[in-house]
Amino acid sequence: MRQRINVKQFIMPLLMILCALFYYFGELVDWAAWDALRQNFFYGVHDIHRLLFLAPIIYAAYTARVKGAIIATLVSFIIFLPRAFFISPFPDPLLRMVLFTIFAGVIGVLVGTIRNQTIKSQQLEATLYNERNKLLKIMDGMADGVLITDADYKIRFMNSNMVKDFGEGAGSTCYEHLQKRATPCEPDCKILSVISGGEISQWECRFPGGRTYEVVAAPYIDTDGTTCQISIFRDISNRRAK
Amino acid sequence: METEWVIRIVLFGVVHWILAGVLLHDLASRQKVFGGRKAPWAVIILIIPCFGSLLYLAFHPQIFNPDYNRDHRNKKD
Repeated sequence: MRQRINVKQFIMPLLMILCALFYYFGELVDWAAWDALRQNFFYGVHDIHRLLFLAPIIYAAYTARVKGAIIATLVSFIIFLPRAFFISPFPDPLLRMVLFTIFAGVIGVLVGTIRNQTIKSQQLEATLYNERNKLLKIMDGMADGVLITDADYKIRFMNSNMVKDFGEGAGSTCYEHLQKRATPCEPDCKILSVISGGEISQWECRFPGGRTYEVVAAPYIDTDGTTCQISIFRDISNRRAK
Repeated sequence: METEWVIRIVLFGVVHWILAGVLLHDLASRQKVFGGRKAPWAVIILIIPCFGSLLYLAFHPQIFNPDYNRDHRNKKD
């Protein structure tokens, strides 16, 4: 079976070759005697021409991170050497070239480091998301109702048992959805003491329609870092009726 | 020997050894190399200053795309 060629891997060498050709274009014109292409720009100080090498260095830092940035910077340095050693008639060619290489290398390494961090945080976010989904799946299969509410009383999650008893209410406030009230259920509500005090609370809660639930609530830190309340609702209406 | 030439040789040497170090590390961790054998590449990188490294890079451009190589390997596995 024929192996597919990854075209992306040739972008970096191609960029380097293009930059090198541009950097030595004046010499190339002289060598090939392309008089029509002879421009003063290609025979001046090459500080501006060198800036073009930032493109492959940053690209290498983006694709191959810090290692790529270091390799691309050193390759650029090798490309600069012949001009600095033998061609440039301007003062301090070596010093200017070294300074630029250090500058470009630092930028490349910084880009590589930032890219590293971005990828790491993306992977971490994906892991966290998967873990949360796994946890929610477990909670969804529980026989009791499970409700996750944040400090603003907004419902973040209801498991299937809770949805069966009260209807889907994620996004709305718990007092509106569960108790059909316009304001929080003070002084009975324990959400603030659970979230800010970190306490585990247990109480009985009556809902419209005569149902009574035993509620056990504990603090829970959601994937975005917000401290919420996770409550387990056990229907004890039958027990109360007896 | 003029001081300028000493600086030039030292600079060339520094670049060669840093690049050689990075590429030898890459060569050691690479499963497949162009030509199938690693030893000749190690000799080329070490013996031919700078140009040996450039030659290694020219034949192994995948060094600049490690994510693709890793994903590709994972898919194969």
